[in-house]
Amino acid sequence: MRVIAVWSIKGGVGKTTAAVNLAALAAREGARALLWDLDPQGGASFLLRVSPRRKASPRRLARRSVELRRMVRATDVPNLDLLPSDLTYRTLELELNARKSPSRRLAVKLTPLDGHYDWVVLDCAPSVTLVSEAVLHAADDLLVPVIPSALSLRTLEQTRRFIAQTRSKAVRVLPFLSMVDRRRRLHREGCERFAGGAEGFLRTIVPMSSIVERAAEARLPLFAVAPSSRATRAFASLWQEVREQSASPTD
Amino acid sequence: MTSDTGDRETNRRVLALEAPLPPERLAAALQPEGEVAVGRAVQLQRTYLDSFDWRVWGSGGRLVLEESGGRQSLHWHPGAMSPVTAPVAGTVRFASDLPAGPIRRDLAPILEMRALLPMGRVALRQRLVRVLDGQRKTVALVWWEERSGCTAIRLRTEVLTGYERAGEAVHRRLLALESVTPAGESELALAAAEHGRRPGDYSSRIDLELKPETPAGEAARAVLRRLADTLRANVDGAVEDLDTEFLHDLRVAVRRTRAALGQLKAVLDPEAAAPYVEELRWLGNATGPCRDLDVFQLNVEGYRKELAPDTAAALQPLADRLHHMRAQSHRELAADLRSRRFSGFIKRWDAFLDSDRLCADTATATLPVRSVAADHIQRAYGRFLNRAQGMGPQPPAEGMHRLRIDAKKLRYLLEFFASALGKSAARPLVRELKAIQDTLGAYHDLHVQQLRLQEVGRELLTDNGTGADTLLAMGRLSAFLETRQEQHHHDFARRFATFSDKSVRKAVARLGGAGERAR
Repeated sequence: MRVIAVWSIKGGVGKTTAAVNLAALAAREGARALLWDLDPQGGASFLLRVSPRRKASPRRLARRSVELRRMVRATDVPNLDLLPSDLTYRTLELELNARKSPSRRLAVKLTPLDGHYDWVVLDCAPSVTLVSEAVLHAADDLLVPVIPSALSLRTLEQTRRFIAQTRSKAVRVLPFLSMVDRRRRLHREGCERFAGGAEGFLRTIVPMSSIVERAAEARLPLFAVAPSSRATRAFASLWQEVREQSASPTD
Repeated sequence: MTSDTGDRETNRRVLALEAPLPPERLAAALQPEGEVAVGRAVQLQRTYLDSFDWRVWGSGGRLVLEESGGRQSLHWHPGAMSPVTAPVAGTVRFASDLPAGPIRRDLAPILEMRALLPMGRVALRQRLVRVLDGQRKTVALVWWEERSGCTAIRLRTEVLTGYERAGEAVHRRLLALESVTPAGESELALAAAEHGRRPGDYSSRIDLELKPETPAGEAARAVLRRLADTLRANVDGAVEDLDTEFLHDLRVAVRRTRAALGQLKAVLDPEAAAPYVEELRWLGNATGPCRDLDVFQLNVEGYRKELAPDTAAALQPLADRLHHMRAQSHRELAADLRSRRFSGFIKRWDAFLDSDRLCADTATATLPVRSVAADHIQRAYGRFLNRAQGMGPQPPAEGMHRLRIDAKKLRYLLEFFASALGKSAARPLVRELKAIQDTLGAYHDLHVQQLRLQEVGRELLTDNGTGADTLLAMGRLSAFLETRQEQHHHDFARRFATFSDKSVRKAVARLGGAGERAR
């Protein structure tokens, strides 16, 4: 089981779109995938039309004795399950804080799922909190969407510093260019700067696309809405790269 | 053996419709559970894949290949986990052809070297009926399936993770409908029956149910009949070269038959059996070379992984030559198995097994099988111990081979008559013997492989295209095999110490039960 966290301190960089589509692509290939929506906004849960189970409160979720599998729900994408979220997830921070070793709690909760899933994708809230720290302990890879803008690049640096401060074991940081609009000069320059995997960036560039909005409206993965669109192909290529970068758990 | 009535997919259940129920009426019946969406009709070809010996089914799972609109997808329903689906392109024959991921990971250890064969095919018209919640999320699935060429309709309901209550409610509602009943036999069983197969109908194991008081002659006949069935069952697969296990099982059936004829001379008529003994020897010899090459080919890839990368790479000409030799050897084998000599032998052997000439006209043939079997086993055990103890610390390969044959004869006798002796008494001995035999078998295989290496080495030496690096690598491989052989010799010594222990001697002595001895 490989755990990938889609993570950024900054909001609106395409985290949820990436998390949903990468998890769906893993599932489409025949892997067992779990998407864990850790964002109280519940964007991934909305996109996949799944509401949390009544008993799946953050309090229960934080308890060591409650198995995550009991909170999982199947999505309409074959092989893809979801741990959904809603606004009550805003208290997850408090619930974790009330337990022993809170920063390791998510990793502990995920351990029993090893063997059930090949990939776990964490869709994280845009913040630096105890939950974020717990995500760093749980994840093998940190996929960071970066819009080629000064602010977004600054948050990538902050992310790296945050990891250095909090993380004992190495987590691989995999930034990629997201929501790129080539009509903008800054974006074009960003593409040139990080082209071909420079500065640790993944090679794939995910374009800004109205297809992403259409897919969100249809509440479906991109490949189900526009299988051959540029954005769909970009996510397929991104998934390929992520899979290659990770030690394959599927062989 | 697991029963195959009903459906065993963990989260799916199958209902049968005794009267036609169009999907629209089905949808109307499910309306109280939520909004219902009926998908368009899809023509589908469903193929159940399994090994010849039903390894997938035996694991509690099902592997289904579905083809529709030029696309293929594999559906793996493991016994204890949720199903998983993956697209496939091209033919899926061995575990290595399965898509990387959970399907290959789960099935590779189950299938090992066995090929996936189509065990049953069904052509269907399918419509997917989905029950939706307020967000238009599917909470329960029902597949409405009509088999081509017949009016029978089946409904497959699927309980989705996290929506168990909705799934159960849909299932109950369907069951409450007039004319809907739980499907009796599984679709796999029905489809396999059309191919003349039944799930679990083949196993290379001797799983006879003999009563202790059965006359020994009758028991021996039952054993030989079972072995003849196994032999026949594997001929086509061995000729068509579907996978290496057909030949393996065929050879084991031949060896067991020869062992039975040789060991049970007090029960069977040796004179009447003599012509068949000769033919079985011929068959053993005819099938040997191809099997030896199969084993070498299966092993050589493993050896290459353990050797240094440059040595492994230099061994490619050896792998190619083995492949070539194996293909030639298989052609000869196939010719033998298609020959008049073989078909004539099978025919005469079948008739002989049904005839009165099979059993000896002796008192032993009428004695209860338990005491006769125990007596034979005790003597075979004694022979094995004597031979093993008579061998020095560095026995020749031939001596080890003879010992291996003795171990096999002993194991076969235990397996033939385990049910009559009491499985709890026979099984621990079989288990111990199997471990010994594995060690002796590996030792022997390594010896045969070293001889083969020398043979191939001589051939390659005369071949101008072979580089010195290949010959040197073969030398290193030979040394590697010799080291392995040494290890197996040490393993044997350790295992033999256990198997010749007082407790095992006592267990063997107790096999016939107190006071019950044939002689």
